[in-house]
Amino acid sequence: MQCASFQEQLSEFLDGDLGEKDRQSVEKHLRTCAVCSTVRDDLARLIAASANLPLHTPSPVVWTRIEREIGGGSVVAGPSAWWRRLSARHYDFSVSARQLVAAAATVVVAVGTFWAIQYTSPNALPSIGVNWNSMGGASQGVQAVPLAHVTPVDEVARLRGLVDEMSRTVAEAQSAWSPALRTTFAKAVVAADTGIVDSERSYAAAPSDSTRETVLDAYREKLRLLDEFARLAEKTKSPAAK
Amino acid sequence: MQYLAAVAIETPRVETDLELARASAAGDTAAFEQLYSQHHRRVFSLCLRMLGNATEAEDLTQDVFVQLFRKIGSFRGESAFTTWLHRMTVNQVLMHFRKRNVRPEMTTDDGELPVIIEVGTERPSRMPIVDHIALERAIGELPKGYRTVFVLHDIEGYEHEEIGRMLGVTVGTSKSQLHKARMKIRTLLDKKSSENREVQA
Repeated sequence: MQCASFQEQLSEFLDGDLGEKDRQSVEKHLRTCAVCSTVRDDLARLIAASANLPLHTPSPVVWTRIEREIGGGSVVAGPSAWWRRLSARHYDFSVSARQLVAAAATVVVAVGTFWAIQYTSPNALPSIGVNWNSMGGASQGVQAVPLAHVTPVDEVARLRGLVDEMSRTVAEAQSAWSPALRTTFAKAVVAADTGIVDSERSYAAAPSDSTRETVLDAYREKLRLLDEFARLAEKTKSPAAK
Repeated sequence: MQYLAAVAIETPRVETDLELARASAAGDTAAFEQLYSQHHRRVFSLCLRMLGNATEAEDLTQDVFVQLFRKIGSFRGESAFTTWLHRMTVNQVLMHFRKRNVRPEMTTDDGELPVIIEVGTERPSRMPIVDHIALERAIGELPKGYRTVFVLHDIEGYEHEEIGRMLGVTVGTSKSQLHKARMKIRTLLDKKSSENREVQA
């Protein structure tokens, strides 16, 4: 049967694996055989579709399990580790991209600012150019207070209290968010919390002005994050309220 | 602030896989998490298509990345990181087959596949438009040996020479299994669409 032997060669024909002589004889047959031409067209479409299959995503639990096995979270401490974690956040821009971009931009800029300040002029911390007064209702009283005017413990406690307060406000708004936004927020919070834990560990290991400032900045960073998401919540709420 | 934000978005510090691999080798799990976030979907999809089972594919994805973390110090950047990682993934899947006593390279669940040859004088009905879901399902229905070669060649883009080396078969065997796999998928997709036509009729 002629067609059978030609059809057996079709994959090699399509993959360009046939020698010149065989290729020409297959081509010649295809010009006159509608059946084999259809098989060739089908296989060609199949090959193209297979090369462009979309990727699948495993459950987020997989990373948690990997992290547990490789002993994540305790291997490297200090700002470089949590800066990396923050900058490594994987934002999903596919849904409500504009909001996510805004949130991501804030995190990137804020962390970048912190990074620059920490490694250029440690004493300049209180003058970070962020307008704290623009924060939502629950955040009154958040001011960039010069470090010299408060004792370190007081300042940490004050920031911690504000973080708790803001967290509650944002948590209440979360139910109205898209799943993608909730995931982004959860990831960003984990990153910020890791920053706090790392900085506190560094401070405990070597208490100094510089490590204390790292702790304060880790809390301020989380406040900025909460503030950004609180504002997003305001924006998403307002069209529905109209 | 707005301007800064735009700059920050447009010019992020993108670390290369090699840089991330080096940081991971030094114990930086955050760098490793970034590698994971960049590559886990490819690895999982490869496992899923070769195994045909999401739970097993997730377990194997976990094994691959745990192994990757342990071996990452030996990545020297001579080949592309993705090539290295995907080779590691394929090896892990093949090892998994061996552990379960499945020889993917030759033995198939239902023996040799008969290839249906199209004959006739009339123009046969064309295979329907290939949609991703139907195609994935058809791949899942392939006997394991054929599926392995098909996934490696047509989805992952491996050459027959490399597939032959990985599976311990000749280039000719790899080519013939690939052709049988494609013809089988074509039949499966055609069958599905004629079933649908019958349902609609």
